[in-house]
Amino acid sequence: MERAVYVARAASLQLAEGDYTRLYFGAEFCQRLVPTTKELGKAIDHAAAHDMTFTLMTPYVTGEGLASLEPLLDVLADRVPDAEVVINDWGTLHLLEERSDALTPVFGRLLTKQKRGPRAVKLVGKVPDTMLDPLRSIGVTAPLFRRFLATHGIARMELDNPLHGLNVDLAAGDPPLVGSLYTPYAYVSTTRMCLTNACDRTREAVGIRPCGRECDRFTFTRTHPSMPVPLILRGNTHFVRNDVLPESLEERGIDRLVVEPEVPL
Amino acid sequence: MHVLAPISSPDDVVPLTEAGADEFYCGLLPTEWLERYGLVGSINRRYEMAAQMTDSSELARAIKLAHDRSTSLFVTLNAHYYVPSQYPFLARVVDDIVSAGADGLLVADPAFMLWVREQGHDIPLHLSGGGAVLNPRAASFMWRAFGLSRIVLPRHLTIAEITELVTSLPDITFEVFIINEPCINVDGLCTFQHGLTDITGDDLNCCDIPWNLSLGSDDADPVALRTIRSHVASGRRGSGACGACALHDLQRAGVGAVKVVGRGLPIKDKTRDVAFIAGLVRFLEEEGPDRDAFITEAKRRHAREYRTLCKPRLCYYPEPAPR
Repeated sequence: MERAVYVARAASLQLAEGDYTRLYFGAEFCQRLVPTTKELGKAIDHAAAHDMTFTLMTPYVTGEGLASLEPLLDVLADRVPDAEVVINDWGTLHLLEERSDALTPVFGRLLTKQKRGPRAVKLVGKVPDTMLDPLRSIGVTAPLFRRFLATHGIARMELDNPLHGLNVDLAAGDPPLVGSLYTPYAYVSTTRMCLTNACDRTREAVGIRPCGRECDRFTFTRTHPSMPVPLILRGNTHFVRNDVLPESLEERGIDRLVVEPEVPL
Repeated sequence: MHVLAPISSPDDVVPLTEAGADEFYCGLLPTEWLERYGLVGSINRRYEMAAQMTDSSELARAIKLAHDRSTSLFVTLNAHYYVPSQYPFLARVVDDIVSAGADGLLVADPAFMLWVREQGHDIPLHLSGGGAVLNPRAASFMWRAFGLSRIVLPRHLTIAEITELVTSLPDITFEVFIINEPCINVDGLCTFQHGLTDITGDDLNCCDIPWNLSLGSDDADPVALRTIRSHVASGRRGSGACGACALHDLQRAGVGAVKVVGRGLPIKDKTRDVAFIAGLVRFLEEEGPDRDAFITEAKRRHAREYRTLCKPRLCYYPEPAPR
């Protein structure tokens, strides 16, 4: 099992040391947090110094956000031409395909559409497997879609580890896929109407507003009696923590763990 | 610019046509699907029976009523994904919908879109807001790859971003949300589970829960906590959410259709909402007011119809008229 480490920010690169063979770096959930080319260069240097291969994270993006990725792809294609790029927006795949780089697209966890809401764990034991199994699975493993992904050069899929279980077999199918499992944080929901925005200032209506980088300073925990576990709110995204890994991952085609030493935003 | 209206019964078609709807959408949740997967596994991301038809004969009747009035009807099969084991059931559902004469499917799952085409169905596909198209490249890619006929843009785009998208891709028909049921989360990127009420008793969706909030670190900042609590409490949901003031901008951008949300609402509410929006679209198209005059008129009609002032927290598109 390959072990990768994922840090979203250059300031956290010191956490990306240890028995890891790959570095995931970059913003997955907010286009305002897309690193600068200088920060990307620092991450590439860090990976090289620690003998790690490299994966660039990209978020869901507007046209402006997509434009901010292009300089990063230029740097990446130049310095790490065999790097992976995790796509979480179809527009990013379109952009990658238009370039002549050898960068490898990876199907991101925002595109796999897994159900991750923690309350689904309360269904376990209360509903038949026929009802629960679709919530533990994903649709993009369908044979037709596997072939579609293959035609776009995608052979790897990124997965979360939801509390209610994971019933995904990437290996069984043609063409086969391989997968990466993120641990311990699963993303649950994300928004452009950032709840953390302006949280230390005035009461304003929630909206798409200028960013004050409040997520640099604040991480929140949200709890409620109906919730089996706390939700973690950092910036514009909710996460849930699950420390229990599923069994038999490699038999199901999941050959990489992506370790998150901190909430990945 | 078409006005797309929600229906949950064939009986909705006539009053909503008279209110000004140009086209309709609805959900069909067959009993067979419901028994096997429950509301928690809804075939169309609506988790209350009030939003559903359950019988294809009902659907066929609604389609005939719509077609008799020269309007179109689209059916939602817009779950974020379907798993391979569900496809035999889906095959029967799609066959029923096509046989009933539906004018299109509202879809969100790329694998399902490919499958519909592989099955030989040439029914138009509209990418629902669950498709999370936020930029022109994504629109262009999905339009081509999945053979779409329309793209519904998610709620989380500004007027400027919508304009960029729509004007850069004049060959694509875009639809946007215009009234009711906003949400703080991006639909296509939200994985919270809905539809739990009957099983777990959790009758509030995660976006409606009155959360307890604490800082993840020890340096608790009372200002941050207080302010974010008010953010969360203000929410984005509820009746009264509206983007009518933006209709002028949306029309100028070239948006092809605006969507009235609320499949599960009572017909009285649907009729009022459709009449309000359709009336403004007619005013826009027939009288050609300038932007300021239109916004003034939209606000006047909103106050008259809903007997309340606009609420900033429930404004779909704040830019045209900061309130």
